[in-house]
Amino acid sequence: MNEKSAIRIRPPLSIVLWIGGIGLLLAYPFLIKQQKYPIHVAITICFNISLATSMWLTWSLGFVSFAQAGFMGIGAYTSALFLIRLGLPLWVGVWAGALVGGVLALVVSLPLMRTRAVYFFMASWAVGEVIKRIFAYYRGFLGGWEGLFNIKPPRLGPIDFANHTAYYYLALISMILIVLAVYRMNKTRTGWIFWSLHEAETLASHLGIHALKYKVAAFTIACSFASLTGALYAHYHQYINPRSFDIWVSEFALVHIIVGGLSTVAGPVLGASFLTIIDELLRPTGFYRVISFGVILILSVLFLPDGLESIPERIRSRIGRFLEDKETRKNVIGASIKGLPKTGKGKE
Amino acid sequence: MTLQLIAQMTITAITLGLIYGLIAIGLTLIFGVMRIIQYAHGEIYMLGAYFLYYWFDVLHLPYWAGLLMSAVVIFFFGVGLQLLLFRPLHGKQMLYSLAVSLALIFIISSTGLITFGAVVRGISSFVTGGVKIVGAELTYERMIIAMISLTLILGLWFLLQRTKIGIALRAVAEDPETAALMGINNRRIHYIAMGLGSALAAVAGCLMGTLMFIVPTMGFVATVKAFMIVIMGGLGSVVGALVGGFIIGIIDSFLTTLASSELAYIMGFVTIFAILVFKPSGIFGQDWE
Amino acid sequence: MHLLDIQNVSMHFGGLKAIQDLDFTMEPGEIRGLIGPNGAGKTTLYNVISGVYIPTYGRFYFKGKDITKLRPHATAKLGIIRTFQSTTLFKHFTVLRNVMVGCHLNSHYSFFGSLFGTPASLRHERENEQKAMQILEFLGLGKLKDELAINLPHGHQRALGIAIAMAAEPVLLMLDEPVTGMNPEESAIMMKLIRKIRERGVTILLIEHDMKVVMGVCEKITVLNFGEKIAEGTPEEIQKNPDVHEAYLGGEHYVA
Repeated sequence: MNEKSAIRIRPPLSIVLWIGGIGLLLAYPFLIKQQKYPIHVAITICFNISLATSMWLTWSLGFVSFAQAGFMGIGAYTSALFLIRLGLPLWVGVWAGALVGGVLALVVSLPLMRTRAVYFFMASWAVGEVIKRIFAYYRGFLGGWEGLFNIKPPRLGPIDFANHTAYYYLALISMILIVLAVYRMNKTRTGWIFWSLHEAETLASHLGIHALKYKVAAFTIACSFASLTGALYAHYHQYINPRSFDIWVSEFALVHIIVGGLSTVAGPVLGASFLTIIDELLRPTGFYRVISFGVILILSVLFLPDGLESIPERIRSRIGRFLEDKETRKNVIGASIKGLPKTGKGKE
Repeated sequence: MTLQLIAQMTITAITLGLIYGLIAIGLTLIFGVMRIIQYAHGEIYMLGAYFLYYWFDVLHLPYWAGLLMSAVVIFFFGVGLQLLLFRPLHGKQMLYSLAVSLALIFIISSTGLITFGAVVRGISSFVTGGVKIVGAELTYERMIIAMISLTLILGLWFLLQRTKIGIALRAVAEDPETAALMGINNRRIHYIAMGLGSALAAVAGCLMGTLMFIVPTMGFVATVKAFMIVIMGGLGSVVGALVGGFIIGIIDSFLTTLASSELAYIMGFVTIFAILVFKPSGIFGQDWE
Repeated sequence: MHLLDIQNVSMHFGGLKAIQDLDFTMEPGEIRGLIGPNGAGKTTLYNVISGVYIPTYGRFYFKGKDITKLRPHATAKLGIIRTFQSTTLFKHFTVLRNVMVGCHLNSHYSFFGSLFGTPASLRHERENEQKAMQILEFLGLGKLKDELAINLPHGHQRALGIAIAMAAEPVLLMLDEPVTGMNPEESAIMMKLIRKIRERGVTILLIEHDMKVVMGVCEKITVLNFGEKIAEGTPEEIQKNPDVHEAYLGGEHYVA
């Protein structure tokens, strides 16, 4: 865990940057003249950031959950069915999806948490996988492998959310809320409790921190976020099938947080943004796209293990070292000019 | 439920169980000795199968030499992976080995799809004919495959129990620091464990490919099964991997025949879940940090 | 009523009998030593008391309440706090944060309160910080508050472990080899510290191999060997006890 934020800037300047950044995000669709494709990419980035952030939440307690994909599916199917079978729009569906996801996560997590951290990722994946297969199994009610169609986005007064620009704001707001929630959790006492379990669970338990309770809570919250995102996903694409929620969704979320960085919430945000863009750029290349992902991941683990979020810090220390070396070089040169014997190259 | 059906399912269960056991033992060996998560173990299995395919079906070289060569080549491939990718991560969190092996899955399976094409193939049978047991078909091929698997498993047991290298492997798995103090070259043992584990997966791939079919995406299902078995049997336990292999083999064989492969898949998970609820470290697993 | 009352407790791991039929009591305010050769079962006993293990047989009571089956977080809430043999700290947290985690046990925490940054939650954080600083000053670690725990020298890490334990406001403090790796001066400081902590009303149980410290600071000593209690008494009595001499193989560990 990092007590310092990834980017250290003095308050007045940072406020300006924040306002500017948010302004940019809000103005984005109009800056690019509402072209469909860039907006689609932006919406996808929002979804990916939401998923990656929810996975990072469980990571802050020390375990990797591969259940995001399955719970995204739960949210998506719940919301879709609420519309198709009950005629209730996204405004109801999204909360229903999050609720169903949360309850299911709670139920599943109690036995799940008994497994060790190493096994957990497989066990959590298994949960997601079974969920997916259940979607596929019930053809009549759940659409089977063919999926569900006609998941119409809602209207709000004059605004029709079938318009991608309008949906962009929906995705943006939900992403901001999720990131904000996780950020706040992490920054305050809750975050310290989570990280203490991550760092030294035995010690934390012996200080009165009920590990199981917090793990279940974090898992439930993370899965609810994934479900919420799934609901939005369903009404955006207007079509879902079980394969949309395959394990690669969870796997990609993991890649996002590893490449982005594991210490702060900036990690999943940066990682998901960066890699979604790369993914889109490489889309025409077919399978090479996936290979590139693998290569990027390996390079990241071997050469930038602290992730993209550590780049500002690295630059700062490089500059610092550069300036120091300059001083030393000046001294050495000055000394040799004065006729003193050379003390060797640079510092000791 | 005729006797013939039961016999058929049992034969399949035993064969599958043995092959699954091979894959799982390889995985548990890698984890036990090095404490890394080799998520791409199934991809190794796939590579082994395709090697034999090209050796035997394409180049028409002898089957048995191919089986051996597949094991040897993949052994060194595993060593290479250990050298380049996993060793730099030694001592770091398991998350990193998971990440790197995930990257390997991306790279290997995509390369496989590009190189081999998304076509289902099969490694031709090396012998035809068979016998009937209570009406059920038992091909010679199946018998020989089962024998090979059994021999390898017993050979491995012998290696681990009676040979110097085997004891060294177990020592490093148990307590790397003490092992090093006793003069064991941990690094060399890591290479051997990785190579051996990978070779076992490769052979399993060859056998399964001969028995059934090969496709570049076969790696993932194998990985899932291998992890399921290893978790069920207890990470690091060879006996556990074998027992787990049989359990999954039985579930797969019986349920796929009697119900559907979907149900077999789901029941496999449910079983593991159930076992983990009562024994969080697996049937034969131990508590480790 | 005893503060801690362990009745006929056994701890078996498969065939290994780590603790056998142990009767052990402690009174409020005492400083008790727990000694014995390596593998005698001392740390296992800590694990049983704190709740990491549930004993195979027997029961034990804290302030009259049966705590046999309670897990670590529950025993901690009752006031049983321990330190660990190997340096168990929150390695990547600062020194201050380490102690503040200890403060959590006895401070108010509300999930939504801290999420929304309510005035009450901010006040609790400030209070915890002050409390933590007091403890750090008490132990002489005040200046290091912003250092990462992993960067501290060994001696300071041990002190930090004690600081964290104290932050949790123990009723019974179980120390596990607190002076390992310390020189005589540091050990003397630790002994003074232990007495000071007792003055605050804390009952102390001490596992230690350094006999000077044990004999110097403990009022009563219990000796374990092979999971059984072989002797119990004042330091003088223990020093004279032939069974204890034998257990330590000729008294090598003794400093007369």
